[in-house]
Amino acid sequence: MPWGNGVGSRPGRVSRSLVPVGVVAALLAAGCGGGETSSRSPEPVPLSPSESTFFSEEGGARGLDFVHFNGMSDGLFIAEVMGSGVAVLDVDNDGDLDVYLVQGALLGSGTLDDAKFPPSEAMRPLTDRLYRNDLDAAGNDAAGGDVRFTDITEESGLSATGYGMGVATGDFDNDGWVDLYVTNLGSNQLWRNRGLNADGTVTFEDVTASANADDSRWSVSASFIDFDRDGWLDLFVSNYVDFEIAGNKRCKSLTGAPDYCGPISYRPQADRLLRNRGGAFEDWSGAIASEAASGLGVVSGDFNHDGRTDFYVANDGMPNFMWLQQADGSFVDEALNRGSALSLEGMAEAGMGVASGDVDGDGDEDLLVTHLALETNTLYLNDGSGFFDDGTVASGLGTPSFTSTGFGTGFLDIDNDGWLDIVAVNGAVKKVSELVALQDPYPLHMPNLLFRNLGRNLGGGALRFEDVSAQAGFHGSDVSRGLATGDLDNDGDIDFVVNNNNGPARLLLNQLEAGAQWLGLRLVGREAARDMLGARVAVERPDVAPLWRRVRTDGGYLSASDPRLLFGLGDSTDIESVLVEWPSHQRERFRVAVGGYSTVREGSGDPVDEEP
Amino acid sequence: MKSPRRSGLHAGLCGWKQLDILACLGLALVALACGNPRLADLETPPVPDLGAVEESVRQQLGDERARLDARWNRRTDIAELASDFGRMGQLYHAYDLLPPAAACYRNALRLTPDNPAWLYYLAGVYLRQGELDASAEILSKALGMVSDSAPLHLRFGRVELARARPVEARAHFEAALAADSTCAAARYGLGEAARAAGDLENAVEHFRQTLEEQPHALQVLYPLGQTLQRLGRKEEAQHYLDRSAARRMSVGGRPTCADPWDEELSGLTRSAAAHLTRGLHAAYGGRNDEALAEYRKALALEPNDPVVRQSLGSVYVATGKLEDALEQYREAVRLAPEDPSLVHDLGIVASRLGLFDESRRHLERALELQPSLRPARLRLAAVEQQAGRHDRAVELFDHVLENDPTHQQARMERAKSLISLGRNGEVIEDIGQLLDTRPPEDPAERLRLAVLLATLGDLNRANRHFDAILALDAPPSVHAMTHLRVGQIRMLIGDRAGAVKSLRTALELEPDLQEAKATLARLDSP
Repeated sequence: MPWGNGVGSRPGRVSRSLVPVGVVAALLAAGCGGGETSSRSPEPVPLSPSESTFFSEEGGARGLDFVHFNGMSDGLFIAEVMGSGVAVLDVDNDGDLDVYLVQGALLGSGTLDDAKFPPSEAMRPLTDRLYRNDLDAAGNDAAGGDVRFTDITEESGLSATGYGMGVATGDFDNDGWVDLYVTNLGSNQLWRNRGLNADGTVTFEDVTASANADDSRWSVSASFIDFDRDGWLDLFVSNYVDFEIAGNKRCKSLTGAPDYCGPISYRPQADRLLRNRGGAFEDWSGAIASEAASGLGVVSGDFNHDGRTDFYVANDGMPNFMWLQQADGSFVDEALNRGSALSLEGMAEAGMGVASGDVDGDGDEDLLVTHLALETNTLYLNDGSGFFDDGTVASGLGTPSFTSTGFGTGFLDIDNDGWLDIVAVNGAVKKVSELVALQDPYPLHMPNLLFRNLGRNLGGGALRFEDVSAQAGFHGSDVSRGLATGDLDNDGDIDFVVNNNNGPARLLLNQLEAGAQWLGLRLVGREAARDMLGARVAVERPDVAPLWRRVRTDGGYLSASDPRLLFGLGDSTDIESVLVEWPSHQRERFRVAVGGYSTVREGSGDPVDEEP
Repeated sequence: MKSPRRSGLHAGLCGWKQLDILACLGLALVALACGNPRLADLETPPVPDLGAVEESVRQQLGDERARLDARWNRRTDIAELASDFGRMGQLYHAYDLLPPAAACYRNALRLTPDNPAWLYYLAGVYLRQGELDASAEILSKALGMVSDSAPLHLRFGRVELARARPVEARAHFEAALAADSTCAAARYGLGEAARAAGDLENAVEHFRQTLEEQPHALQVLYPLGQTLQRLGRKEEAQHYLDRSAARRMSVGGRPTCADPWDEELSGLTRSAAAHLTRGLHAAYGGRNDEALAEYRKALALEPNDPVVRQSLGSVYVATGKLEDALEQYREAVRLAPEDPSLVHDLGIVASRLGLFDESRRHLERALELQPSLRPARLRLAAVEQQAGRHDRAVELFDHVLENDPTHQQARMERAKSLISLGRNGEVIEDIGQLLDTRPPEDPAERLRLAVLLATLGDLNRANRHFDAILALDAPPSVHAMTHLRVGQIRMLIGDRAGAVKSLRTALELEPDLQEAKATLARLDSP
C-alpha cells in the first residue's frame, strides 16, 4: 500500500466520499473495465465563486499595496500570529475613507533579512501605513467614484514603528479631526491629527506622553467612546498576556512537533480604561476592577438598554467580560449572569473578535464572537433586557464556522436589504497539519466566511443565516486578522479592508447592483464637529419595524471601521423619519433624503420628548 | 508539491526504484482488483509531515506502518489487513492527524464493512472536520449493526444537536441512557436537547441530575444557571452561576460516559506533549494524582524539557510537596535560565520554603530578565518585608503602584511596611486620599482600609467611610461586619456603650457572627 502525499481535502470544504478516486481509480477502471469512478481531488480546491460575487478584491489595482510583516524567525513567538489591524477613517475630512494599516516589526534579534519572510523593499522602512483615498468628487453620490489610494505615511508625520497590533479611531481632542490610537506589543501611541498643512496634507503628532495615553503592556484592541457623557471620548484598551521575547515559551503539538503556544502559557493582563479629562487621559482602570484576562476584541454599546455605555470584551480562553456601567459610573462584569461569558455548553472559548449590532431586527444589540476552530463562532442574541441566548446553532452559523479560527468580524448589510449580514475573516494560530504535510511555508491560512441574513422568515420564525462564502469573492485563503468596514467608494454599499498576517492587505469592494435603496448618515456633535460615537439611530418606516444602528468605530479585532451609518432599505424609499438618541441622551427627529449621505448635526432636528 | 513517500509496501509490490509510486500502486491494484474488488477500492492515505515530531511518536507511527506494510505484502487475511488499517487510523486520529486517519478508517471499512468501531471513529473524524451530515450517515450505519451502543448514540446525539435537531438528539441520548444508565454525558445531552427545544423545566432537571451523578462535571453549572435564569428563578440561578464563576479556566469538568473506544484512542498517544495535555486537564479537574502520573510519563520521555519540569513542579506545589517542587523548578531553570516566568516560579517556591536569600536572588533575576513582571516585584517586596527590609519593600511596592495605582494588595502591604518604619502619617495620607477620591468598589476592601485608618488614629475620616459603607445597598453580611469593626474600635477607645450598641446591631444582622459574640463577651466580662 502506498502512502500518498499531502492533504486529502481542504479543511472543512470538500465533501467526503467512501469511493476512492484519482489515478488509482482511473487505472482500475481501465484495467478491469468496470465500475464507476468519481472525482475526488487530493489537492486543495481553490474557492471558485460563481460568476456573480458579492465583492471584488481590488487592493493591488487600487494602490493599496500594503504587505504585512510579522517578524517571524524560528522562535514561534505567539505575537507573530496575532497581528495586525486596520482602520478606515476620513483623516482629511474630504468625505471619503482613507485606510490605516498596522505593521509588524522584527521579533527577536538579527536583521530584517534574517527574518523567515523578509519584507519587500517597498515595505521598508517598516512602519504602519496611511493611504489617502483619492476618490473623485463624483464619488459622493449613489453612482460611486473611482477609488484609488496613495501612500502618504511619510508626509503625514506618522511614524509608528513598534510591533503594531491594533488601531482605534476617534477625535479625542474635539478639534474636528479624527485621531489614531495605535496599540503595540510594548508601548502604545496616540497620534493627534493636526489637520491639513499648507500643502493640503494631513499631518499627525505623537501626543502619547502629554495625553497620558500609554500602556506598556501587550495591548490589542481599543475603543473610543464617551462613556461618562462629558463630551470627551474616553478610551478602553484591551490587553492580552505578559508575553515578552525574553520569556518566550516553547510549546508542542500532540505529536511533539514545535508549535505556537496559546495564551494559557502566559499570564493574562488586565485591561485599561482611560478617562478623557479635556484632552488628556486619567487612568480609570479601577472602575473595571482591573481583573486580569487575556482580552482581545472589545466593543462598546448599551447592552442592557439603560442608557449607559457598557463594554464587551472577548477573552481568549477565559470567560468574556460584559462590563455594565452602573449609575455611579463604575462597571460590573455581568457576562456570566447574562449568558454572554461562555459557550452554550459552559466552556470558556477562545474569544478573538467581536461584533455588536441589531442582527435580528428587534431593536437591541446582539453580539457575535469569533473563536478557534472546533469551537464555532458564537452568536449571542439579546432578549432586550441585556440577557443573551446563544443563537449559533439555531441560526445556522455553527457548522460553517466549526473548522475556522475567526478573528476580524462585523455585522454589515451586504445586500442593503435591511438585515445585518456577517463577515468573519480567519486564519489559524497553530499549524494546520494538512498544510504542514504540503510543506506550506506558513501553514495557517484559512478561507474567510460570509453569511447572508435571511431574517426570521424561514424556519418557524428563527433567525437564519445562509453561508455565501463561496460567492463572496474572497481572495483564496489567507491568514486574516484585522477587518474594517465602510463604504470606501461612497456608492451606497458596504466594502471592507482586511489586514492579513504575513500577507497582502485585501480591499473588497461591494459589487451590489444599483437597485436596493439606501440611506447614509454622518452624525456630528453640537459643540464639537466630530463623529458622535455612541449615538443610536432608528430609521422609522411605515408598517415596518425601525432599523436601529449605533455610531461606532470599535468592534471586530484590532480594527476601526467607518463611523457613518449605512441603512439598507430593500426596495422601498418610503421612510417616515430618522430618530437619533445622542450620547447626551437628547432625542431628535430628522427628515433626510434616501439614496445619498447626509450629515446630521446635534441640536438641529426636532426635539423628541417621549421616553424611548 | 512534495513527492510521494515510498514504503516497503510499494517495494514489496513492484520495486519502487523502477516505477512511479502511483503507477506502481495502480498496476498492482489492477491485478488485485480483478481478483478482489475490496482491495481494489482502497485509497491512498496522505502521509503527514513527520519531520518535526517527537522521536517516540515517529517510532510509534513507523512501527505501525511497518506492520501494515508486512501485512499487505502477505495479503493473506483481509480481516487482519482491515484491522491493521483501523489501528493505523486510530494512531493518526489520536495524534490529530485527521486526513490520513480518515483514509485509513475508510480502507478498514472497505475491507470489513461491518465493524462498528471503525465507523464510530470515522464519524468522530468527520465531526471534528465539521462534516455533520457525513458523520450522521456513518453513525446511522453503525447503529444498524449495534443498536444498543451508548457511545454511538451519544455521538449521534451530539451531531444532531449541532445540526439543530433537538428532537432527534433527545432520542439518541435516551437510547444512550437506556444502554448505560450511568452515562452522565447522555443525561447532560438530554438537558441540552430539552433546552434547545424550549423545554426549560426539563432541561433544569436533567442538568441537576447530571451534577448529582457526576459532581465533578462543573461544566454543567453554567447552562444550569442560565436555564434557571431564563425561568426567572434568579436566586437558584445565582447559586450555580457563582459556582461557575469560580472556574476561571474551563479545562476539564465535562460530564463523561464509559466509552471503551474513546479510551482506547486516548491511550495510544505516547508523546510527552500528549501526557502534558492530559496532565493539564487532570490538574485543572483537581485530579492531582492523575496529573502527577501523566507528568511523570512526560518526564520519562523528555527529561530535558523545562515545561515538563515546570508542570511537575506545579502539581507538587498544589499537593504541598514543596521540596519536590523546588527540585523540579531548579532543574527547569537550569534548562531554561533565561525564562523569567520559570525563574519567578522558582523564587516563589523558595520563599514558601523560607529560603529567603535564594528566593530574593531568583526574583531579582526574573525582574532583570523581564522588568515588567509585576508578580515577581510583588513577591520580592513580600520577601523583603518578611526579612524586615521595609525600606526596600516600600520601594518595590511604590514601583508597582506607579504602574497600577489601583493595586489594593500592594497598597495595603506598603502600608504595613510604612507602619513598621514608623511612617504612619504617610499611610494615613495615602489611604485617606484613596478612600476620599476613589474608594474601592468592593465594600469589604473599603472597610479594611477604613479600619486601618481608624487604627492609625484618623477616626473622623474612618467614621465617614463606615457611614458610607452602611449607606450602600450591600448584603447584610457586609453591614454586620462594618458594625462589628466599628464596635471593636469603639471598645478600643473606651466607648463601651457605643461598642455594645454596634456589636448588638451586628448580631441582629448576622446572629452567627462569632467574632461579634466574643467581643461582646469580653465587654461583658468584669
